[in-house]
Amino acid sequence: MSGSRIMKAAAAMALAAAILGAPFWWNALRGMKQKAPEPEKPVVGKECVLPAADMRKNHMTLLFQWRDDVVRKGDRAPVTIGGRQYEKSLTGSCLKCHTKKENFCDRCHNSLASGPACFDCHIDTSERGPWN
Amino acid sequence: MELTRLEFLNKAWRTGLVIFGGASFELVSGTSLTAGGQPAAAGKRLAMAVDVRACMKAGQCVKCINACHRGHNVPAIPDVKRAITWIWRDDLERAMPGVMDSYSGTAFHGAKPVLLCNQCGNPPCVRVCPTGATWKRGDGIVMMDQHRCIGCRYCMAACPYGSRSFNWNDPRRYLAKKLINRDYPTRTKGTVEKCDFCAERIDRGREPLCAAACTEKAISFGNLHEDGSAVRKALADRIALRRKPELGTDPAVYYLL
Repeated sequence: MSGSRIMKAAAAMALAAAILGAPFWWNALRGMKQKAPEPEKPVVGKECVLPAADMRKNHMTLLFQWRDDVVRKGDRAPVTIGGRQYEKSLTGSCLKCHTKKENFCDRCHNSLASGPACFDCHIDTSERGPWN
Repeated sequence: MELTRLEFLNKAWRTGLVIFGGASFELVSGTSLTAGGQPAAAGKRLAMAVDVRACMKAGQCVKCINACHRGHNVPAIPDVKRAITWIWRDDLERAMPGVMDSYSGTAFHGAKPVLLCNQCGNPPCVRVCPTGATWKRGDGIVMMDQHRCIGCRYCMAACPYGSRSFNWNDPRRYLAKKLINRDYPTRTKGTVEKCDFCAERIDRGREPLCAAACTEKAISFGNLHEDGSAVRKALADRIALRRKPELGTDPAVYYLL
């Protein structure tokens, strides 16, 4: 009697695991993989303020640094990289090369469901802007 | 050990003094007002002088208000309770209660000078801000960091001049996309904003938008501690009042009579 109860419980648990885990095993069986986002490369500038790998990893730190320099310290001195001067500004520098926010920022951020609030206040200066 | 009631009370207040004494001393002495961590720029105190007569002469003029509000993407919200104002006009009598009566200063009755944030030397808003979102810069500007504002509105309760506005709604709903200044951000729902003497222009060596826009030359701006600055020249041969100086806030906006 008790043996069949254990069997029943085990079967129920296996069924529950199968149903709850469906998204994982179903996609694994179909060989689905998350597509890497493809942000659009800028047409104008060839060089970014930091090497691409650094930017990929640390762009938020750089933006926070610029924000603190400009807003908190009142230090708006431009940064010079590779002989070119860049204003410490998201809209005044980043978006000057990455002219389409929706094809650059949004592609990675949407794919990772990471939604920083930058453009709640800052103006999207691309054609689509100032906001939607 | 048995304590008498008197001994207990004595010990209690002494212990309390030791525990809370240090903290309350810091509160009263008010030593850490420059929360931004900036060293005070030696001898710099930016200030403004508004010529009330010139402002009166211009009648219903709102050029400075328009220049400021357009330049800073300040929305025009019809509901006065939810309106955002960086600079506005109001009765002199309301702005400075008690400076005139039925017989004195009758020439100024009905005057509506422009009012704005006073960039206090001793700003109560900075004292109460729990996140350091508002602080005093080395040059005297009481700055707002929208990134840090959590919208608690303590600063609004603390400000005796009503210089601060709260975004009850998304301000973008009230801004015309075509008229937007793309070089300046908007704000977002749930944050407080106010005039910052055009810090973004001052840092680039330009005067505030209101001073630049005034065709009556009613607004003088400059360093209060510098002989010969525009504001000092304006203050030199006129009697000037400040709003509610008795509160000890040390306003940096003067009204020339």
